Amino acid sequence: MRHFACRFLAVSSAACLALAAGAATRPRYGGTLRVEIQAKLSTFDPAESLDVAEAEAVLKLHALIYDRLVRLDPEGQPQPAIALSWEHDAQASKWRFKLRPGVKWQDGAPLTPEEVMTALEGHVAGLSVRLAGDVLEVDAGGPSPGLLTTLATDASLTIRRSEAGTPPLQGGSPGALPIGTGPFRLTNWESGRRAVLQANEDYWDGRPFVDSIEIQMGRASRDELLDLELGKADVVELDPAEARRAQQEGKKIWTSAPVELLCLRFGPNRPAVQDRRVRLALAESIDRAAIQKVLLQNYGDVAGSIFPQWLSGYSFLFPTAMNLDHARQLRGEIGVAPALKVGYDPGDTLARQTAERVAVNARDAGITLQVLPLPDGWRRMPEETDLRVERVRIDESNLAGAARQIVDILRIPATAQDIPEHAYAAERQFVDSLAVIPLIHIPELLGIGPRVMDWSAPPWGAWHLESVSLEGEKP
Amino acid sequence: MRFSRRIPFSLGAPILALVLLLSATVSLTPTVAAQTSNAAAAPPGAAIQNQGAASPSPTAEEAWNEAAGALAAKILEHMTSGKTLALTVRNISSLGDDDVLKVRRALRTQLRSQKARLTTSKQAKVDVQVTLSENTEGYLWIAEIRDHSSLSALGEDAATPVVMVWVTRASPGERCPTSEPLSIRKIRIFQQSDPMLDIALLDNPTVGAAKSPAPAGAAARILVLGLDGVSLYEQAETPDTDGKSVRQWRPKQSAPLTRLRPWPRDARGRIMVRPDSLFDAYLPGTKCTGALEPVLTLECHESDEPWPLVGGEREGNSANSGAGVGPAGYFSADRNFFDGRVKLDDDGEMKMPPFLAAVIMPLNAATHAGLPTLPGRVPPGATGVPGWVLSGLDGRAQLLNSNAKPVADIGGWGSQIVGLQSGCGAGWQVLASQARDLNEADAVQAYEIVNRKPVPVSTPIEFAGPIIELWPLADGSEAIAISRNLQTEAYEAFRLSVSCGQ
Repeated sequence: MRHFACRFLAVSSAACLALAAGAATRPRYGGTLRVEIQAKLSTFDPAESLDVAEAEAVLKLHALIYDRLVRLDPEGQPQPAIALSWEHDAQASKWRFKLRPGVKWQDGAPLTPEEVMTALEGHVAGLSVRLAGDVLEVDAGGPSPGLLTTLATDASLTIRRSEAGTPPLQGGSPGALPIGTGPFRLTNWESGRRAVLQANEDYWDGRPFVDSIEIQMGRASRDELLDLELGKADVVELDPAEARRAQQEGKKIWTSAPVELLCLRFGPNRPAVQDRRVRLALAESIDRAAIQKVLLQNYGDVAGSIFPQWLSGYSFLFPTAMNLDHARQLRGEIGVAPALKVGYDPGDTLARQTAERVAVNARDAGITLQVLPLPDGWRRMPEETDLRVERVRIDESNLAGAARQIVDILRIPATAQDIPEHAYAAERQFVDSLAVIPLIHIPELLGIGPRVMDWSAPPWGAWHLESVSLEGEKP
Repeated sequence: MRFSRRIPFSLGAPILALVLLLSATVSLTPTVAAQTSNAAAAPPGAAIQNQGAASPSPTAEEAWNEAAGALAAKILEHMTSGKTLALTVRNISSLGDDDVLKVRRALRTQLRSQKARLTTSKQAKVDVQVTLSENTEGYLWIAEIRDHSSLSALGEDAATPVVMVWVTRASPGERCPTSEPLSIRKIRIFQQSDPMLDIALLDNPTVGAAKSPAPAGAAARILVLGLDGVSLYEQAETPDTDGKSVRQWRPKQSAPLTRLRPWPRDARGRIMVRPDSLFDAYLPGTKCTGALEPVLTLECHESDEPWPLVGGEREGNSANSGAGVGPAGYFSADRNFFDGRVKLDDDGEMKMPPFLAAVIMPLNAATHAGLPTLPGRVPPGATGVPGWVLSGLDGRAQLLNSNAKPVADIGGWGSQIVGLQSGCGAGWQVLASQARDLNEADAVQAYEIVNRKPVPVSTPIEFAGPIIELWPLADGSEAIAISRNLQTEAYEAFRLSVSCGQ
């Protein structure tokens, strides 16, 4: 894994332009890191987020404010965090975590073992937690070799103060802000607009280099690029078109591994797509390469599989080429020309463009696609279209974690991911069912301003802003 | 608004419990991988060895042979015995061409040893395409088995059997021997996977210049200061798998270091050995005193005692170890720099701008640099040091005179600088890292200061990652460089010296 991570970073770096020279190696303290994101965060609870891109942004904030028992290094290996060390029995069923002494909440109060236990217990079904001095004992109820990864990634398993946080933030009213033990403390929250975080001076893993982070929410990609160019922002989320433009202009662009699947998903109960030949004809009519080249500006990879190559290692086995002749043949077998409705999120430009592109391809195969924006709140409504363009986040550090992540979303069967043939067979079976047509694996694209030094992020896109420093800042 | 989806957290818990039972993750992977390639994975501690190891290591090749055998067996399970097969191998992983050749050879050997009849593609009944792939957890070798007779009987839509094996990725840490440019001699003496702040050479390791080799029959030893303690390593000759003798560092003892306070994120430290088998470790807001005999011990206490800015063995006991060993700088306990106060040999104190590293210029260098010097007497307020070079917090270096007044700015250097008495050229040079980001490979170049300006006198010598520290060694003619290798993620310690031969 280590070698892969390095190789990936090398590839990422190749996609980036050379980092600006003129700054010394040793990080400097001070300054405000200005971040702009597209999501408007209306809540601090990812489970409450209507928009899951919003949930992603909330999780990134959580990572700045809260600690975990264990965290993942850039290679996806569990490393000590609030837990100093751990051991488990032969079945990996019973675990003992020795807790780190001297950790403080961001308000200066000491973190007690009881608070760690309270923060974790009851959040994962099947896990029971109890305390033995400064050792946390976790009984997983059965073999759980992946427990460390779960502790490092599950959104509910952060160490947070139970009495502060979420309720006042949801309403946007002033009140107690979340308290954690992480590298930054949230000091200002304007729902949907702005958040400010201050460096935790007493952070057990060393005070962050920047003094504060200011996050502007709800910024359009085009505006973000403009702010980056004008020096008003240091880190911005970019859509492919802006990223390509910025790259051509010599800006630094950081690309993650492909962490999203852009796909078509059929409505399971829609009569028009019950005939498998209709779905197959549509799948074989799509020119994925053109979508990747034109709409994604050559970022990402064409996808025939659910899991990207960097996670599975076998995604190349899934065909991605269009087969228009066979699509037309199938269309001929169907008889009546299918006329389908494809929906897209009206706030997602790429989804709209993809739907339009797919409609053009489908027409070549004799299938009519009517492209429609989905109504507000569409995710909680009965399906009104025969299919829709979706993005599915797949940003875990390994295949098993990714399978856990999307097992419910796509209803892909859970399998023993440690036996590669089984994982491949399960995914192959799911893709062959044509419940979903994979299109493109998309990376996360960030524009990085010239002041930003030591930017590092693991392939799956988590941010480590505590390690970032700003050029030219003085302590 | 985008609608990328992730698992709803309210549903996540029960599903997670289910999947936890079914799926294995990183923790399990090494075990699984070991079924096919138990020798391929290099444990963290295995990285501690001398430079110049063979590429790839024998264990990696053994692992590949084993994995090739497993894949061959799986392939043959899908073939009727006696059928001829044609093997093609393609590589989409990070394996190099040489390694791919080795894997291909291993596959052919293993197939033949398991009674497969290999032939050319035209004559073969079965085409086997092996793809050398990889994912986050290791290599994945995948074989697609196309039986022409099945395809003709069942049609082109017949599923192609696919078999796979995991192969643990070996650490490539020892694969590229360090080249040695003409002007700066760079010798790797140690590496480890954990962060390394400083090392102290107790006896000269064999890889270094033989100035004070270990006594006959005795092994070279080093002390390594890490974030969690001090470790003593001993160099020993051990036979490798071919029976050849190789030198390796073996851990002898370690003493844990209790952090008395949170350390800065960019933690720094220095370790200094004294002649009486004692040593001092300087850490942010902390001073530790240790002993090598009879067992390695370490005692730490909160302290703002200044850190030595020069190399050399320190004399005296721990109570007065700061005396008589050259200027020492006060380190900011919650940052990564010296606060600018410098304690002098005469216990006087002077103030200069905060700095990341300081170089003390000898008289000949100060004269060469065009700094006014007053031989024979020290003016009031002067430091007794003819000149200084400071690496500042603003990314620039400064030349200071004996009164610690800045007289010139030096741009284009990195944070790490060290002065060396080489006897070459003007006799003294500054080695400076280059201005880089922590995520980039760094380089060190030698400079002489002429008329208050830096003049490069060597070609840069490249490192495989950022240089984290440059500290002078005992007599000031060599330096220790600590670097983080971006390819292997290992922390490496190098001994640097300036060679007269260009």
